[in-house]
Amino acid sequence: MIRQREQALAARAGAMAIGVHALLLLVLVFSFNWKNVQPMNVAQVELWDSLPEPVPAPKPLPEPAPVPPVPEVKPEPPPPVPEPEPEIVIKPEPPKPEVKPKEKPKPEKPKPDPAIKQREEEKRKLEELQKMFAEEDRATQPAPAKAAPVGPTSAANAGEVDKYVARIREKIRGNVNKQLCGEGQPELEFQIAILPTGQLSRDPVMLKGSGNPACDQAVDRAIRASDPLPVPNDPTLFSNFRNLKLKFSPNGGG
Amino acid sequence: MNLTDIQPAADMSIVSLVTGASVPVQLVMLLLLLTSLASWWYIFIKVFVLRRASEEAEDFEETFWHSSDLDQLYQGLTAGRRTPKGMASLFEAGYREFSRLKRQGGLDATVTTESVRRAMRAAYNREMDHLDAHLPFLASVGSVSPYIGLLGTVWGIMNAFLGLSNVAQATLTQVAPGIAEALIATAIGLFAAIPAVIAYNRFASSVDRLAVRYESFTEEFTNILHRKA
Repeated sequence: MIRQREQALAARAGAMAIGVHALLLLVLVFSFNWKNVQPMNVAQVELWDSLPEPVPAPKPLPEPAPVPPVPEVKPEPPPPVPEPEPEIVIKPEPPKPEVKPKEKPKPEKPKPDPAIKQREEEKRKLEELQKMFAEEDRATQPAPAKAAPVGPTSAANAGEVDKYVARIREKIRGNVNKQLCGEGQPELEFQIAILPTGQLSRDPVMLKGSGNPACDQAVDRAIRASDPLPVPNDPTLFSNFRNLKLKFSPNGGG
Repeated sequence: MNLTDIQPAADMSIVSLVTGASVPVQLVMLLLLLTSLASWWYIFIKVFVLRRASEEAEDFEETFWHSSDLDQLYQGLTAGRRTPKGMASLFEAGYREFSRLKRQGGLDATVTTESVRRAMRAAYNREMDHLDAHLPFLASVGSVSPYIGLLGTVWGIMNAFLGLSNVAQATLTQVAPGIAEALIATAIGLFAAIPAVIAYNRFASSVDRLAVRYESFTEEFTNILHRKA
């Protein structure tokens, strides 16, 4: 194994070999981050609550706020005034008093009309959407409504909650493997516990299955895959999401 | 992404990965560790031996070309019952054969030269044997230990996937620790192989250069003795 003339060197070489391995082991232990730490600290909840304290800051804001409304109000009246004036100035010479009143209302009407119509249409669309959301939620999700009375939930808050529930549902639906659930309209119900960061704090629990185990698992996987879920930043709204009972239909419609 | 899944993975350290591995994988790791220790031992021995041989060759060539009396040089080398090493041993073998033939007398110069050359050839072969020692071991470690490590890894991954077959819902957290354990075997194999291959190539070239030096010295010394014969 070791030649006679190498024996003098053997001890020194052996010590160095062991030293090299000790060094390698140290590098291996300390250079790698063997622990996979998840950035999941519940302390974030405290941060949300402590935010409202710096109240004095918003006070200076109202002072600049009243200034902009003044110029906003002023430009609105002038346009109707100068526009009818040139018409009046030019046309008073020919004796056509009947035309003037006709022309006057005409320029005024078409201008506000497109803007107002657009706004009205938008409003109508928004209302329709809100109605649709509300109907959907009324039809599919009585749970958050029941949970809602715990917190201070006004009608507006309920609308916000419904909006976020719809977004959660949409996100989960995008992750469902729909082939596993077939063509029908299976409806499942899951209990989901969400952290303020949108992450799941526990495994989702199935309250009502679709009868098809493959579909149930597909939806369960989709909920995990949708982590983090969209949740409101407002802590009062979020209380509805801590334990969310979500009715879910993978093929849409609810 | 929930707390229960994170807990088992959180205490993953190299120690727990090694102790948690299955017995065949642990055996492979142990074998590779011993191989690596032995190869590094030989690497350091070879480093010292080759460095010393190169220094001795340099010193001897210097004293040889500066000495006017070969007989005196021979006496100095063999004094104190010590056997000369490296290039000095070539000189010692050649000069001893030469002086023995000279004492017998009545021999042709060509015959003397041939027999001196044979004596030096034998000494050269002995020296080369010493220089080449352990190099085959390093070559084997360099080529085989990755395969041994791979065997451990394949075995470990096999186990990890067999364990997965009992679970209805396959998640990465169920396979990941097993695969990490198994991959350590490949890592150790590579840690053993890479230095061995580098050392083998380096030592082989050093030995070749020393061999060329010895051979050229043999030729030059034979010429000198041929002139004296």
